[in-house]
Amino acid sequence: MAAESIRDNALAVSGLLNRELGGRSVYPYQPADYYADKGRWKWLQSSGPDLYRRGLYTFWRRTTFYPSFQVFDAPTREFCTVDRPRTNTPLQALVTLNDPVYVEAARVLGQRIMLQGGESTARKLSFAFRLCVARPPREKELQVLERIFAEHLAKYQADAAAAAALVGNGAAPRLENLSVAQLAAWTAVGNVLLNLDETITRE
Amino acid sequence: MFNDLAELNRALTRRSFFTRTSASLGSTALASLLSPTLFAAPDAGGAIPHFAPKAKRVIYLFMSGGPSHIDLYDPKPKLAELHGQEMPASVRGMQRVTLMTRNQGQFLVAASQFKFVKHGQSGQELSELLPHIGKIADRIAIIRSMHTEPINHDPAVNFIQTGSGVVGRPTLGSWLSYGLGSENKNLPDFIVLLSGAGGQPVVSRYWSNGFLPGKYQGVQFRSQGEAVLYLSNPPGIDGQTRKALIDGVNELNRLKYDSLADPEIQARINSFELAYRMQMSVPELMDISSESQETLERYGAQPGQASFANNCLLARRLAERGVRFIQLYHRDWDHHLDLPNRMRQQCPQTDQASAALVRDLQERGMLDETLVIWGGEFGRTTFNQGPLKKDSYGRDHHPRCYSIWMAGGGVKGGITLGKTDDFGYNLVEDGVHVHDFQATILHLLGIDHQRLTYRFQGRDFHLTDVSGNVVPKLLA
Repeated sequence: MAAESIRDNALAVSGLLNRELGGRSVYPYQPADYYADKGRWKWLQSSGPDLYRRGLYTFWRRTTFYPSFQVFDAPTREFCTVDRPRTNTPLQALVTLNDPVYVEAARVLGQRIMLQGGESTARKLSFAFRLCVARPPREKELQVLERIFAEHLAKYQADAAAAAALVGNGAAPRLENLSVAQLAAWTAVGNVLLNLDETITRE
Repeated sequence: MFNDLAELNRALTRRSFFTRTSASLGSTALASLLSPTLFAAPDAGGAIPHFAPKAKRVIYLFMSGGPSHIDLYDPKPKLAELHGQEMPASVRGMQRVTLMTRNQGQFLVAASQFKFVKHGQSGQELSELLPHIGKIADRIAIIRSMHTEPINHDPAVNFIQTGSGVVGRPTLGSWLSYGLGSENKNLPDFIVLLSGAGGQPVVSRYWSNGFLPGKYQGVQFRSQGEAVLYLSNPPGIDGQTRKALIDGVNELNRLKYDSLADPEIQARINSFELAYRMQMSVPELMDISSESQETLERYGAQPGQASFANNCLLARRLAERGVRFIQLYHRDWDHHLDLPNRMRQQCPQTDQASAALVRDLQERGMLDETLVIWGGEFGRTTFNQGPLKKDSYGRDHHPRCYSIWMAGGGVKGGITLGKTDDFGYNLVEDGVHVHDFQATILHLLGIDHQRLTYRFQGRDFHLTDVSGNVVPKLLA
């Protein structure tokens, strides 16, 4: 998928996506010092629903544009482009793994899984998998996901500080009544699912 | 039923259809599968290198703003007696000047305040502002006859980086990583380091891949905050957890690959592994405190600081790790006013470390295969800009002639190429146009600049556009 769609998809899957049409450009999360050595202009981060608008509304500064789109082959808009190249780089992996918007999407996806995914862990995993890739998981895939969930549930039950830190990512409100360790483990699963080749690729 | 579906998928997937049916695409995909690293197989075709390369990599010390050739590399003793007099119209000719000096009404000669000193066996003449570069004079080729076309910063930087004053073309580093691929497993091919404050902004377009695929984009390693954007894991995910999650992603991707045999999925798996290796290797790479005290002092580097000296040392560390193109930008050479004082501040920030880098590379036996380039986007005018005082003058942009130097990587050391007139205003001999400069760099890396092309919008583009000649006098 194209740069903007990859982000839109992650937001949509988690339920964060703001589908409002039109309006002014917005300023989602960006590393705080990204513009530090690029002149006087400042990136004033948006808040609330403006953080989750579709990528097409992200403010576009041609000389130094939104870095997460840049690594996904978005053009600089300095010349006409009929077709965007599609590449596959480690810097892209770092974005979908660590960019705050993807971590937040994983966390809110985790919350959604806990609220809407059904009773059993297997049902929850199938629900989440279908949200991301639009098909049910195969047996082997389900086994891998079950193992990832179990491992991370154990990890975050044993390390309350790490669990609290993980579920504290992002500005979206968190439901206080959900178990922190459970939510952290589901966030980890969300982070895996949002990074699958099948999630970010359209066949 | 899943098996049937998988079979159907296998037969019909658009991506695998193309990779299976097109011979050229198929062989590219196969190359990337067989290669040990994701970036290793150059996409530009099998013929590269076109001939035996002299250099394996480039370290380009870009002096942003346009350092004054008249005060650094191109002595003009005759100007002393003309200081403060109007430049002869015959020298200025019909050449355009910028809006900043066009209306000042007079074009008074400003002789350099700085003495020039002969260095080494070659007797190369350099300004007293550059004592350390003086010590490597026998190893560098000074080009006094560089010339370019644009007269303002941004187009001129674009021109020397992309061969075009129009924005949107790929930069030199992108062309090289497209043409040559990578030598290392843990790092991108084209890495950019910035230093200096003030002056002209340095924008990410200067390391853009233009219309080349995004994997050829330069990657800025930042000296403050995270070295690479999003390299650090978010709060709540430690290194061990990250490893486990990446393993999970790849395990699932591998299951998918087993059912589809789509090489793109294999490439994705490689990307995630490389991302993890970068997370592991980059912090160590950026930590220069492991260098000996002697080395740090030689460069004038101080761990934890953002400086040109630190970046020069990092450039050597990147070169050791096989990075193909290392681009440094140092800002604030745009001395329109009060040039002598500003040069006295600027030169010590760059002179020592530039020379230390060349000497260090040589001592480690790497200079022969590493091309080092020092220079800006244009030179500065002989005539004064702003108030002309006894001890102060300023200079405007001058694209018609200026000086740079190159060292190592198949370049002849201890020579001065080209000549300008007694005013340092016009070319007299051996002009080196930006396209000639670019053609020569590609030549040193084993590439015929006319055969490194990329088809975009129906045309085969070159870095050197439709011109450029290799400069044989520079070759060792």
